[in-house]
Amino acid sequence: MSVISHLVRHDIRALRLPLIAWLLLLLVQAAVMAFGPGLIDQEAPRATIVTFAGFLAGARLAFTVLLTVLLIQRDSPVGTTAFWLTRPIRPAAMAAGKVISAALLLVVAPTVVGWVLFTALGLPQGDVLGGVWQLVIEQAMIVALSAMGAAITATIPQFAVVAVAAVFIIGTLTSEARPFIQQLPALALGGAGTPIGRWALVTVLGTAAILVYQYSRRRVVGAAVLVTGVLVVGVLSALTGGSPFDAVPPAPLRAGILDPAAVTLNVEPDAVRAEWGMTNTRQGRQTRYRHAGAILRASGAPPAVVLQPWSIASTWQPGEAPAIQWQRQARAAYRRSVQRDMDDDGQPLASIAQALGSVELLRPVRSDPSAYHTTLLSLPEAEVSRLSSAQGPLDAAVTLRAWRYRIVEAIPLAAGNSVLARMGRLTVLAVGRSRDGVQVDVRSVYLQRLMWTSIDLFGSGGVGSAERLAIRNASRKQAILLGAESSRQFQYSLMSGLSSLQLLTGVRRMRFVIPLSDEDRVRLDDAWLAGAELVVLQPEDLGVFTRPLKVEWVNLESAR
Amino acid sequence: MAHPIETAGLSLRYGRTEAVRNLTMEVPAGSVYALIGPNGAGKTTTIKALMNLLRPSSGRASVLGIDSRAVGPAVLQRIGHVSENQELPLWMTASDLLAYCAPFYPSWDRAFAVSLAKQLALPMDKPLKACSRGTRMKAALVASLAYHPELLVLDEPFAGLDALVREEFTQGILEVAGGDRPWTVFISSHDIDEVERLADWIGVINEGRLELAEPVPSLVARFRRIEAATEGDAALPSPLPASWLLAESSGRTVRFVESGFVESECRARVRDAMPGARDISVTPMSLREIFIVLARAFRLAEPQGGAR
Repeated sequence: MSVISHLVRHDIRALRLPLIAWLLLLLVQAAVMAFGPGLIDQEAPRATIVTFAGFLAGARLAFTVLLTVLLIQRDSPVGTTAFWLTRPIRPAAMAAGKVISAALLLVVAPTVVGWVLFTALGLPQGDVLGGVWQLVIEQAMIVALSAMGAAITATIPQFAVVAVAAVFIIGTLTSEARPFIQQLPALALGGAGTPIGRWALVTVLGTAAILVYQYSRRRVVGAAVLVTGVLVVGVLSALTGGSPFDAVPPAPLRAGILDPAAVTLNVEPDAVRAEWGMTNTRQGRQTRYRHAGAILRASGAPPAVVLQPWSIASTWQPGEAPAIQWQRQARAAYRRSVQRDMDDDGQPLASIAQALGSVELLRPVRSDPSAYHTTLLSLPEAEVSRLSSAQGPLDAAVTLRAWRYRIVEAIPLAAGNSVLARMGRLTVLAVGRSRDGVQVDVRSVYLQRLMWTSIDLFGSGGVGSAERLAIRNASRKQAILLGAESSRQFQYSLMSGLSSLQLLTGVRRMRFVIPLSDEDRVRLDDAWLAGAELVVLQPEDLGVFTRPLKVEWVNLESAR
Repeated sequence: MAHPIETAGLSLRYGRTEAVRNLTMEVPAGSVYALIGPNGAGKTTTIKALMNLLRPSSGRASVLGIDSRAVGPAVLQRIGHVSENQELPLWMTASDLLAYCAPFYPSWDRAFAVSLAKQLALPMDKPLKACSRGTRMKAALVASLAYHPELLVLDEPFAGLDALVREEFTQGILEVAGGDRPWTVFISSHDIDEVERLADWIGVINEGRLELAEPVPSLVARFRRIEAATEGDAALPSPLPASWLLAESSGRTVRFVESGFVESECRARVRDAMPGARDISVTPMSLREIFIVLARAFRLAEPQGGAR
């Protein structure tokens, strides 16, 4: 152990100048993330600060790679001329020293800075832990990938060539070969969590093994084969396993929410659309498909509950041919696109209004919360063309996922107050009235979730789309939904491909809009604003149940 | 342990090139053994095999009684190694270098390191990257002597050093050699001048083969430059005696190098080979002259299938 600590101290001394620069970079980046939103209110430095924050994020990535390469190549396991080779140093001790040095300098140090930063920014404890864990994974992945390259190269230019090759391998596996990979059986890696967690586990353990092997044997070709193996297995471990939320089937409908038997599903036969489409098959070929899609509407649920088609199993009877079975397992529907401040169709406004205490939403409410685009059937062109008649009735069993909005936090709408939304901590900077509503400026600090979690599946509308912000005056029983916003933000990391969470800080200007036609009906005066709250609403998953759907006629012959 | 270094049929290949061919060599304990040969002869490759930096293609080598392929930390604690190819940590000062190396050696003698550094006039606080090549080599030498190794392996240590530094370097080695601890020095060089003062054994390697190996006194004793006059135009005997190297005739004079000189028999053997020979002169040769003769002889012999 004393030899290893001696080697670690030696590494730190050897790289002391770049390490000082590295620590300065971490501190400057943390300062920009912490204080940047305060500066960005001033018009002049706005673009400069945003650009500088992006540069710092890129510099952090570049420094991590460069320092890792320097760390390994200063006592290179490649070639026969390194000083350490003829000194009585156990290769395993040298490898262990490198792993510990890299972990301390390039994983632990940025993680500690990140932890202090996240805590100082007032992120909730769960987000601090999530962000710290994300930093650990992100830094460990970059360090491990760089260390593998450095272990089989003697110089930085050689490393650059290997890095390009590795990026090509990973890129190919994650894009071109993805359809083939995803039909492989999942690699059993215990409870390694998320795909990125599995990938990180494989990469870090593989890198440690490669360093020990290469420092002991010094066989570049053998080590290069191992590096390729670790890259491939790492990508396979990430791609063959499903996303964590897909792996967990939704729970059955909670008791007392609604009566499933009362829920009826309806598709207007005239509105069933047949369309062409190209889809990648599991074998990786592009295949032409014909789809039948429709807007599916559910009725019979309480206004507070939103029903989202979750999976569908169809049986289609085209002419005299045998019945064709088809199914889609998850997220079988998506809410039709909605422009928030112009169009309400498809928005769960009734559920939101109920969650806010049966308030009047200051919008021209024309709520139709159950409208979803749903694919009823999708068949390869070759299969359809074999049919003498591609028309017939369709019976389906549709599994519906029930959601309802609930308030997760509400605070008085006043400067200095802060609220914890799913999109992070929002601190109110200013409240003002605009021509068409209320304008609220907030300082935002958040960990953006790049991997979806269960509530992001609501409506399949994208990350964070399920969360709603509103301002409410409870005594007047009125509320206004967030209509539009603009933001400027700083990114903490550029490794979005390796992240499931990403820290951003910035400022947002949120506009809570009421139509001008409501001006006569609503007096949005100082008293209204004085009694207002900023409210965060999130959907709550209530479980799934299945209902039948009968579509009189599906015609795939006239596809567009 | 018979010999600190032994090889038997050692061969190493780089792809199709055989850098060392069937090398069999024994370095006696307590000797300063110089392995000399032209550039590319296989000296460095041999040393790399001994230090377990390269694996032999065939044959075997042992260092301090251990198979070279098993040379690891325990053996390296007993070996000092200085090489012109070694990548020293140039960001360090000499002082840093010694502090870095010390914990690896239980027998590290700090006082000895300090005195050696002083003797070599080694600047302790200057980064090695700012030092001359000679200073760097001196720092490497101190870092390789401070633990009193049983075996010191020097690979072209004098290459590129000026005369003064070379002298200081040599003095440093001689200083240790004059101590009370038994040790062996194995030194490779392409120039006999560099090792003449140090070596008591010489091995000559050429194109990967060990051409000769013997104690310096014996080598010097058996080589003589011979010149003889003849009655008419000189003609070299055919076949030449095997011990004659670089034989040539010019007018009425024959010159050659006798590689098996025996004082009492020399003149008689010349007359046996060339009956009309007279005025036979015998001149002793320096180690340097012997090396040049051997190098030329090997080169001349090569097209004829490698026989000398």
